[in-house]
Amino acid sequence: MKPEKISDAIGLIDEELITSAQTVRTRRKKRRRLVRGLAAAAVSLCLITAGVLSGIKGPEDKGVEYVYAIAEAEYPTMTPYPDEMAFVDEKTGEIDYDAYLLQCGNFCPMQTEKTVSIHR
Amino acid sequence: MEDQRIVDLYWQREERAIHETEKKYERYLTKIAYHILADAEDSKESVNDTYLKAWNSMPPHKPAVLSTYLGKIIRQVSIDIYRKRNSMKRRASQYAISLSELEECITDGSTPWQTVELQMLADAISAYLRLSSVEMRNVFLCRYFFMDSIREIAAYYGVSESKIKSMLYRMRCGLKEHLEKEGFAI
Repeated sequence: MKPEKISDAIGLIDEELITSAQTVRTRRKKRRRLVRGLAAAAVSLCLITAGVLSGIKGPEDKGVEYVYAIAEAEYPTMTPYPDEMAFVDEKTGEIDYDAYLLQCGNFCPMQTEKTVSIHR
Repeated sequence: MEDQRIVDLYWQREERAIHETEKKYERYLTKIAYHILADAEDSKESVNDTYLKAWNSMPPHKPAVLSTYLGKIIRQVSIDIYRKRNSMKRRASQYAISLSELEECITDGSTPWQTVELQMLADAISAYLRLSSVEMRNVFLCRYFFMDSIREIAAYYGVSESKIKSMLYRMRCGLKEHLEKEGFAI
């Protein structure tokens, strides 16, 4: 039997069977479209959520964000160094380094250590 | 437009029936034709022939499902075009041309017995498909009725191509066994 004959016979099979296969083909396509749509919606939702959570806003909001950042920023104020002249003995004109370094140590331990090392 | 309404238009011999059929089913029909012919021009010709055949066959036919009915017509029309095209390519001699001219003197070439035999074979295949699972049956028909590619069928079902190939192989083996059992010489 030639394959052409079987193919011809398949063309004559019950319409009910063909309709069933046709329905599946159409339904699968519709389902694929639905799945693609849902996937696109889910991705969009994720991007929007991620944007909101990370604080990314549109260009028109950038100025407001910047002002808000300046207003909230807190910079450490530098501890003033002790006035060296306050430790000068008026009579002899010598500087009381021990008292000066002690004063430095109260305000700025790092500098004190550095100074001490230099002193050594 | 509803299929029933389109069929009614055919029965009323209104030419709008063809227009409505074209609007609703052109893509579907072109796809089937293209799967068989793999040529846009021939597919277009096949679709137009299908409209003509539908026009000539309704009445007396009143199909319950128009898409299936049109699908059957275009499948046969496209296969006929395919065979004609291939035989014309093969035939380049004057002898071959004379044969094709003589074909006009005879009918479609099938004897009543051949037609009955073909219908018996179709009934046997229908019976086999009814015995198979719905999924296997639909995969078989997607491939051998609608001529969908393995890739397309795998996409319809969301499975791998190798699984579809395996299903088709099992179906073919089962069909061979069934037809032998039914007394057909394979």
